[in-house]
Amino acid sequence: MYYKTKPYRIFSIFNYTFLAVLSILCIIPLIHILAISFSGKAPANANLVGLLPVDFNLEAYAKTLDNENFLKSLWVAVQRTTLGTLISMVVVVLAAYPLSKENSAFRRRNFYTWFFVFTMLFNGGLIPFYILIQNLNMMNTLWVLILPSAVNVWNMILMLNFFRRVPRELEEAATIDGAGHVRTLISVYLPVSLPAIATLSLFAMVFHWNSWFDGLIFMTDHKNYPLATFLQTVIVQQDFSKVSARPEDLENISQRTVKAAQIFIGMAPILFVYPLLQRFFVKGIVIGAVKE
Amino acid sequence: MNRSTPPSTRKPSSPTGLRQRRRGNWRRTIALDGMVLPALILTIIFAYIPMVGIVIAFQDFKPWLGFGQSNWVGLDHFQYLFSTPENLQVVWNTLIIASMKLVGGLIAPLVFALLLNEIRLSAFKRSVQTLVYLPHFLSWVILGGILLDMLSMKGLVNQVLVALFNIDPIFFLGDGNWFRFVVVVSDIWKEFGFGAIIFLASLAGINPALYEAAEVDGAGRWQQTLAITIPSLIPIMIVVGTLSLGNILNAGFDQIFNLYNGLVYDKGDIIDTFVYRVGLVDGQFGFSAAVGLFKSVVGFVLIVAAYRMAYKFANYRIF
Amino acid sequence: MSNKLKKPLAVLMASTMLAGALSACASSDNNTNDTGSANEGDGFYSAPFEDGKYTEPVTISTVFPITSSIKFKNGENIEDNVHTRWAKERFNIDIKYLWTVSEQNNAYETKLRLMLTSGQKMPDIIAFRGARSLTSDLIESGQFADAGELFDKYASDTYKAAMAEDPSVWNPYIRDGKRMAIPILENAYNNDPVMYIREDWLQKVGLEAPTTLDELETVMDAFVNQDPDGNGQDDTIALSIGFKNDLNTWMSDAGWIFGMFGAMPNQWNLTDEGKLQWGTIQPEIKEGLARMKDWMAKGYIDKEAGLHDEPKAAEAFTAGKSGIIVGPYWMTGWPLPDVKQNVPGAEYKAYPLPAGPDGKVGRHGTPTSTGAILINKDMKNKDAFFVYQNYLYENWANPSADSEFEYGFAEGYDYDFGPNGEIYREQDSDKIPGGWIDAIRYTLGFDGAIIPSLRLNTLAELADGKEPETLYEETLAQSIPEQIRAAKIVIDQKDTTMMTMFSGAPTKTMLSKGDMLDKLEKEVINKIIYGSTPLDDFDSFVERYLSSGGEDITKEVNEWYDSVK
Repeated sequence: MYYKTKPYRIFSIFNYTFLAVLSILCIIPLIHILAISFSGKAPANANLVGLLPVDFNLEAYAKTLDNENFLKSLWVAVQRTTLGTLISMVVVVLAAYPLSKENSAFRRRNFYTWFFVFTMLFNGGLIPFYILIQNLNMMNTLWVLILPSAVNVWNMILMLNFFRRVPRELEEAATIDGAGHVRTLISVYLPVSLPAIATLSLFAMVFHWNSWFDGLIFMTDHKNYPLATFLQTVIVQQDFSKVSARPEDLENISQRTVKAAQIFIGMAPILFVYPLLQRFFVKGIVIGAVKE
Repeated sequence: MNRSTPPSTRKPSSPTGLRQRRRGNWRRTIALDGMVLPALILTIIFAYIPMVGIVIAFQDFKPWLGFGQSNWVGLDHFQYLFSTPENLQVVWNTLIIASMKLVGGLIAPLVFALLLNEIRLSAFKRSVQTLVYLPHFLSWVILGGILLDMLSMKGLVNQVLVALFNIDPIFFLGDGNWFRFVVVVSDIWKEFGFGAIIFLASLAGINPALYEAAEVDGAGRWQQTLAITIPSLIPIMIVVGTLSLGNILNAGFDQIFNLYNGLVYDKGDIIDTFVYRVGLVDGQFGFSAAVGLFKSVVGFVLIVAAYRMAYKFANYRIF
Repeated sequence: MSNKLKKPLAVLMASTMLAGALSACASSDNNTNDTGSANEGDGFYSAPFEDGKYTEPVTISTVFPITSSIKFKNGENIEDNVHTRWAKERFNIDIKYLWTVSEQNNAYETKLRLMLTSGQKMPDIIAFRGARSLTSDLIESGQFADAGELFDKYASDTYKAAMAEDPSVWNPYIRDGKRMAIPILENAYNNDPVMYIREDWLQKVGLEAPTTLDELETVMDAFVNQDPDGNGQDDTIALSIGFKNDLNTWMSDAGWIFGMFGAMPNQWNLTDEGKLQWGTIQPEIKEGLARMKDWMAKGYIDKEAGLHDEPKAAEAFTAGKSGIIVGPYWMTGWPLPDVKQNVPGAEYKAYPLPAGPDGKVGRHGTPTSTGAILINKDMKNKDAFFVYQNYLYENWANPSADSEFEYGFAEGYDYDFGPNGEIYREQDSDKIPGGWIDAIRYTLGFDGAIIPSLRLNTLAELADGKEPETLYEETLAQSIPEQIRAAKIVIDQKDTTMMTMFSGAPTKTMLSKGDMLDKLEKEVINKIIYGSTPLDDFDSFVERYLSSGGEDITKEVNEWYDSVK
């Protein structure tokens, strides 16, 4: 076995060390934010917190969870992410299947593909889009957060590339059995494409979880903001050159610890989902299992 | 269609299968059209209809007149973008930073995925994968503040460098060349874990039987990697690389905006920050639409070129 | 659909109520004097009005930005809260919000522009603080009324007197001699800077607070080199400034350094010839830059000051690593108190800004108004806004003893009573159920009603030992002593204020060349301070600035100035 050879062992030692260091480098900022969220206000505002909390306390979390807007926006985000991912994946997978066919099998595929790819680059900008949403009466609805982004062309192209790797023999067997396209997609393509589907679902999920601008512009009521939009409000620094700042107000804006706690709580769900999806693309079991 | 060559990763199908398809079962293809339909409708509504707004790029757009009645200015906005050496420098900066990010953003996740693929300890593998994926979720507003501290003259990075190499502290964010370097490296650092997911998914799709066969043939791990792993990643790499060409003029607004300052304008100012500042003085929708259109055209031309090249040289249809 | 039903009904109700109103007037003539007369005759009220309120509901539609300093409690929101209920109860005014938005990344401005572009119906009133180009666009759209005329007709004397304190507040909104928007007034001197110095550091190095530039440099040298924080390490800086955004800025300010030589960067100054000139290219700036360059080299200011924005620069002070910071009087509320928590025994005090070699002192001013309220020309009851705003000016801005706002806007929000009748205010936030909430922030003009000169002047008078008499004075007297002291210093030095004189919409050349010039300016200024470019490059910079558009801008700005002067 290759992994018992000496050069490979040396490589392994290096590899483990390197990846461990890399992981630490990636986690440091998060630990820093976590430390701030558990710190006292004064040291946090003066940037005296490193990787360990100073004046440890849980006040920031209590304040965050006490804010009803936070919980509301969390709920909007959950709805948006679940529904948005689902709809987007259905639309994308449905379209990617025919587009993964060869020209000879589906002549219009080239036209369709370019039709979609074109929209990756060209768009009319915010103004006509805003007018459109208004005319569709979609202002302040969950749909405005879901439908416009449902056709994720990037995901579609990746999906069609993954579909192309499905062994042709499987499809032909299904065709001979008299299966239609939809059945072929569901019973042949989907099971062998689970890693891809898990990956692209993750992309869609992360996209929905992190998007904040559409919520800000199209939700006419701040109660309907998804979490990412809500968090933006908290993180952005206010410019005092324009407002009559009074010392009484300033208490509210200087809550660096609360900001840190909210960032962390905002990230938590998506971190939690990751390991669940991870098993689909860490192990190369899927195709092997089908092949048997 | 004689040119309908199957993708290189696929084995050519049997002649009978091809003929069957060529006969063109109308009912079967109409079903295929039907499957595209939902995406088609959504795209027409949400992408193509609003494209009428592109006309703003050629107008002196006044909000209260709308794009029906605003004055036409032809290519004035485009001219303005290229009017001064300063603005040309901005385009140039964008191109340099974006292309470095593009290359690094492709190679780093790939190398990482390959290295991770060699880890046999499942728990370690999963932890590493989860941890490196975290920075993707931090916004540049937050990371900008953290980087400012870490890269300061008395910051962690300089302390390490001074201790190790006995050099003068480096003014990372106040020196134009270092600034570009920091922007590119920190962006790669932030995104490589997330970018690697697609490659890991791709690796997961490789048939283990191929490795077993190679093992039997006495191939070492390095040879296996060269002969099996990398070739199987090439299609997805070409796809990702080609699609990211569309971003050749997007150097990362949020990141630059949070990190740049008066000392590094000459090397660090990019198109998007420039448009933002101009827009702040006056909500210049026309100018920003023109710049957007310019970026789109450049990106599109590059994608078409890459698509053609991949087809011609690698015989691979990217999409 | 229900609206269609409501209208005839409302008319019907109105006519019956009108009859009731007239009879009420006849029976009790000792009512408030303006009710009866205004119903008809001069046409002050557009709807029947009695006892200080409309007898039928009147609607004001608007839009609103929710800034991060606005908080809610009891499940309230901007559409339904103690303020909207108050307006309904007090005046019978329904405030209808077409939309609201969190004020971040210029979202309010963007949405207003989109609204304008998409041809949506504009609300009755729009209150907006920010980019003048948007206010200009809104005015250009022709959908808004001559607000000045309305103001003259409807505003109360107190409101008019407050507006008259600084007549230049109208300047940005004058079109063809008409005043197209009503300025939102702010506290005068609010952002005018004072100098805060670590008192314990001064004592440690045995020096007095500096009054001149030379003394300042002595103090700074001691703060850097005599280990004022006593930790045995060379880790202190003397002065916290952050000029990532601008030299002349709202906190961690550096503008006063140039003020000592008689010019203020990043703003339009009035020269002795009565012309406006861009501050950064005035010759005096060079002398200020020479000092800053010197201070940077000597370590008086942070080597990374050019990378720091305002709060970032203040961190060094609150962490106890810096001895001097310049900024508004309100810094005594935030962020300065943090230093006392982070460094046991830390003391800081506000001092006047030092004088330059010729005895000059100069600081940037605070605009009396940074925003305005636009009134839709199709608004049905234009008087309603003034009824509302007049009331706040009469009763909130400087309340008399019988005002309903004696203790604050609303009980249980910005004040509350304890079991023994004691008053809880912001300091006792944890004793008020749900916490202290600044409900005045919900008002249509953002901050209720402000008489510009009142706040800082009152604080200064209190500092001089005046016994609080009015409610307003009593409230302010409870401010922390540092704040009162800082406010007094602001007022003491008020003759040194250099106001920015240009408040028009961006000019033509500003639009085409402004960013390029701004970038050029920042690059050169930074490079000179950091010493990577010789000081004399300032002269060639000025030449280049003027020749590549600066001259045209100066001309345009002076044309504007002549038109409003």
